[in-house]
Amino acid sequence: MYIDVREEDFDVNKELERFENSSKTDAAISLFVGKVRAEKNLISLNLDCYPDMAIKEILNIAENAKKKWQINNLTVIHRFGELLPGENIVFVITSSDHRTDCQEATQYIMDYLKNSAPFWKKEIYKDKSMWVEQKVADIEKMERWED
Amino acid sequence: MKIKYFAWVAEIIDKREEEIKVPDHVIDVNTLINFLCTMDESYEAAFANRKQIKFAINQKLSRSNAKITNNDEVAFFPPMTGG
Repeated sequence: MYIDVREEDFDVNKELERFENSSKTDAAISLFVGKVRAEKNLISLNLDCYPDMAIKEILNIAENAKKKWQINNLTVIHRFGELLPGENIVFVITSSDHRTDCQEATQYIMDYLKNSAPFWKKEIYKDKSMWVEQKVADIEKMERWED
Repeated sequence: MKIKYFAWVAEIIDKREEEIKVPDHVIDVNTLINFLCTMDESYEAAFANRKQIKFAINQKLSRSNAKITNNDEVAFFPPMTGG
């Protein structure tokens, strides 16, 4: 299991290769990459972060995912700071013996990252800026996993 | 007590972190917010709608009546929007 919270960008191909090298016996891999929307007039997406808590919270989410599904390996990388349109925000990858385990676990991790990992997005436009508000639809997606 | 602020809470208070020795009557997050609001009106503005503020004690989301001491790290922030 590898968890990282950082400002620097990550290379999706390199991270996938690294993951594959440490998951050689697994039959299924599920990958999600979240990127900054290339929205008109958006200059940047600034992510505020509480790094000490983020590491703990992502670890907690990952441990819960491993309890729910048969996951053999897992990596989560989440960036913070000033991100430009088209740049990577988050990388989640899981592996398992059967596809449903890693597919559902990846979705579960993303749904919890959205609402319970301490990151806050601020959209910066040419003439205004605004903090992104938590969405009811995102909370509902997270709550569907509750037992 | 180390107190951290994030996102618009930090913007309103105009601080990201501070170290405060809180008085004995501050025993939980509720009493801490009440105390902070007596220090400066920017705290009052930030905590005007307490339902919009979440908090963590020692990097763990907590309830407002969870006990705190001067040795704890308390953080205030809006609902998270990661991912």
